[in-house]
Amino acid sequence: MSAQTVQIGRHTLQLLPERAVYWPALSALLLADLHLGKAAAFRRAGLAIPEGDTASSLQRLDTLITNWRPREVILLGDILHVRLGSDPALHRRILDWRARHGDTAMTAIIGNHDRELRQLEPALACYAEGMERNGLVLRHHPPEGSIGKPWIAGHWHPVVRLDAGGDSLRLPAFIREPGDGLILPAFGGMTGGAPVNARRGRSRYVTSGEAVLAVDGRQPAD
Amino acid sequence: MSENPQTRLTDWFSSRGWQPEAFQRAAWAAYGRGESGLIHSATGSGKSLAAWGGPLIEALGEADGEDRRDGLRVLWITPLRALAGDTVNNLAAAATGVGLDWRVEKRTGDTGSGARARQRQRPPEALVTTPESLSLLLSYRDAARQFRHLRAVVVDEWHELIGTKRGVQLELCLARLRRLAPGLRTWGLSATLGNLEEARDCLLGDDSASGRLIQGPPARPIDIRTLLPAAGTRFPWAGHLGTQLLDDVVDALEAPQSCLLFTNTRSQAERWFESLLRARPDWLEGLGLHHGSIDRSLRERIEAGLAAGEFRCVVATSSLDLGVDFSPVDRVIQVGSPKGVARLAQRAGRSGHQPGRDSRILCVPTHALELVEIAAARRAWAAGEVEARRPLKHSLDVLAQHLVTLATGDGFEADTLLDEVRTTHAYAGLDDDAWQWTLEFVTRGGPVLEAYPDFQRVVRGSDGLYRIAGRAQASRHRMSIGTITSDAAIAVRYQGGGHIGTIEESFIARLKPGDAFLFAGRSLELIRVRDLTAFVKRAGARRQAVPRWQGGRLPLSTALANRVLELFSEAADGHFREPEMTAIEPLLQIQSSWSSLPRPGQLLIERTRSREGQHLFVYPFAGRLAHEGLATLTAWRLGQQSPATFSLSVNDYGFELVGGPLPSLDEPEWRALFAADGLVDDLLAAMNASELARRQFRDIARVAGLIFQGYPGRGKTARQLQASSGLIFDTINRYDPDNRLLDQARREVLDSALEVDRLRSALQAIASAELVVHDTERFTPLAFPLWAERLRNRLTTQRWQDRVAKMVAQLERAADRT
Repeated sequence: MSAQTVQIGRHTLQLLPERAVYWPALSALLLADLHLGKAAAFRRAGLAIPEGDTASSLQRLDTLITNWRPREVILLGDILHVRLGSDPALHRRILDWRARHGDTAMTAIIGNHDRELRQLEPALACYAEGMERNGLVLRHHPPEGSIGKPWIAGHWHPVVRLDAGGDSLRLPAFIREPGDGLILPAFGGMTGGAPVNARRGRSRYVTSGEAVLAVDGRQPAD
Repeated sequence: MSENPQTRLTDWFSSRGWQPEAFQRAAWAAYGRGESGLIHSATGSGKSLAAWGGPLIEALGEADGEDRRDGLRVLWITPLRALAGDTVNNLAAAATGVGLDWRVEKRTGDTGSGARARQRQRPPEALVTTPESLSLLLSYRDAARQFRHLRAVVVDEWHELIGTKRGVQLELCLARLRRLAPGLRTWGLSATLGNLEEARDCLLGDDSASGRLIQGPPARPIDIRTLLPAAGTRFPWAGHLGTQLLDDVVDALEAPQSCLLFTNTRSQAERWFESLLRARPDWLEGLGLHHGSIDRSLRERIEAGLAAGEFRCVVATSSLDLGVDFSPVDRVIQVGSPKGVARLAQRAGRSGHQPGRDSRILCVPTHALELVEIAAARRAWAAGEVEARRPLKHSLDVLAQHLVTLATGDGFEADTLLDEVRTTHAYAGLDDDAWQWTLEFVTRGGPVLEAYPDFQRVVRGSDGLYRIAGRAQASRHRMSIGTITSDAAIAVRYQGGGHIGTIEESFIARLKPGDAFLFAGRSLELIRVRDLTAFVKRAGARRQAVPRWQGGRLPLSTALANRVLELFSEAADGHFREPEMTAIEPLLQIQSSWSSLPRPGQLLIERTRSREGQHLFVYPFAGRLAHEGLATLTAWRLGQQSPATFSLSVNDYGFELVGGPLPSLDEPEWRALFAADGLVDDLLAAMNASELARRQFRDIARVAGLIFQGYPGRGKTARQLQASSGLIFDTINRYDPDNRLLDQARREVLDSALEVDRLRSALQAIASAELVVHDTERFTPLAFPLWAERLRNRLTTQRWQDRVAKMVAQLERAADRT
């Protein structure tokens, strides 16, 4: 029961405990909100935050690529937390990392933090929000209301707070929105989260790191 | 000048119809001999003039052109900037009165940039300021020049600062001032404390050997009365609003007298203000609300109105506890248990300053058991059992902030600064390693960050001096100096622009746009939050949330807890001496018959079943903080036998565990559960599993400069640097586990958040106590408040995965039923 599947449009997507989505039809891995370089941005501002998250995010992505051997990795925005120009070390690091996955296509949707993402072209193929792939709209920001097409997005950093049996946990979550959309949890480490409450037509899936579990009962047939 | 300078001062006293008191003369004489010290005296007894007279006499003595240098001579530190205005007026009146042509000015966060520049150009003779503003003054390049002629520094309301990080910050600043102005005299003013000598030594640092302790006149007697619920009415067993007695309080307010109604928390103040207004809309003009989150100008208006006798009643929190020369009121009402003797005395002291009259305070219990606490407070006061406030030691976060402050100012040389820092009480025993770590933390971000040259804060120049890295760092640091006290503050303003006050971010974060809440006595609706500002509009009468501010819920002091236990024990023997005890007799009878009343030398334990599972109630009477630690410890030790997750709930009398199956224990097993051996180890192990240290880190991260709160108007940059202290705690915990600030968080949780010393003595008392275990049918009068408290922590020894699966299974079962 480690992965859950959801149906978005005519596609079946697998929700992975590692806070990513596998799309079998395309052999693609999707993930959102890496926020690479966040700790370094803090340090440049004089806040003594240790490094580790950028490395661990890329490493977790390496492991995912090794395990799933996708043809393509699609990053749904907020890949960088800072301007590349202010962090040349990060720029090099990303290019090195990219070079190690030469066989995998890498596609990025430009998010609100990715001001200079296009500097990474052609290593990353960059697209503006709303690019379509096999009938699915790829976005960074979830749309407000239905857009008439199925979509996948990030940006919210959704978490779900579970309370039961006197216990309480805050877990990263995938959110299946009415209007045929899916919102991914943030993949990056130092990302925090915004609680997402239950709502009619919405299904939430939490990940414990080892398993993905539906928290809103049966998925509604829509 | 031929006239004796002291005669000028006593003449001025006479002109106002006053007589110098013996303690005032003693303080002036000691000052004249070059001594430092602490003046202890009750509110409204003339402490300020005791400290102010010395510097005035000194100046009069040298008035004739003889060695009269320009520059700042006296620095007056006040803990609340709201008090600065009053203080300036009082000090200036005395200076003018004796014929000194002195400028007395204030310098606080509200002082405009024009006034600040003028003060730097042409310093006044005396400056009234706050600990934060003093720290800020030291962060400017000309600090050494500014302070070189300083003769005296007076710390007002020292009892409010000691035991806090602001107090530690001030200790460091005082050490610096003594270095800049050799011969500087330090005087403190304090209300009653259980540890006055320690308070003096802490204030004077290594000057304390010659320090004096000057006692003012004895405090006036306090008449403590209670508003008793009418016989036969059902008075709640739990709760903390106490508005059941609203009608009686309204009756009490009918008399045309000024009244201060104190509550223990801001939320309670909001509720009471609203309830009073609803009960008597015709009193609108005569009711005021005063607490720390309300905009300063509003507060000042209330204070002025109170002084002018315009208010029938002002509802206030500890924000009005302070203020030496605060205008007295006719009556004081205290809602809820005062929780401590010192606090009760201070609040009572706000009433009736007429000579020869007692201070009077009317206590309004919010639930039944508080009746016992009020009776206990009366006994403790009569016996002179006033609480101590222990100074803090070795707070590396405050030290780090101070290092950056000095680096931003004139810069510092490491070895001489270490000597200076060690002259303080707070860092007298600071070891070299801790010092080195802190120095590295502000320069390189700590040993772990060495490999990352991108960190920039303080750098060592070729001249060996440590200085701030750049302008941006300097301005960001100055911005954060004032943050020791405040939680991340969100400004609350109307859509149209009117500023209402500030509120804690954690409260606003729980609201959605459209939600209504009570704030500053108004019903407001949240529109949106942007750039650290919550925009609101007036809301209609709907169900509202009341902000729960942190703090304010002090633990019942040991003195009071012992008296409470004494009263319970007397009740068990059938003695009900005080009116409060007579009023609560029926409830105590129920406690007696369902279980038993706790007594000194016993430990009462109750076990009950409910739909939630099994409940364990334990009553050590050690105060809510120590109980939090005890509850954590007990849950963890139980969890060692078989993995389980417990909900914990605490109050001042005891704690409750609910959750996992509770094994039935025999006497040796109970004893092992409460054994004092391995206390700290077990507690630390338990805390790793819980959230306490992470929560404590919030303060530390802010003070040490690990989070940047941002400030209104600098939205974007600030937003990019926003991360919760929890997230930073997790990151540091994972990638820099030896960081000493994590260690400090754990230590602070032990010392202040869990009161580990009190916890240890509680366990020692339990070790020799008789265990009294009852299985009860339902929640007893002592258990019910714990059950109702629901301020719960969780502690688990189960695997994360198992917890998630268990919870999801429960949620699914619940969903299937619907």
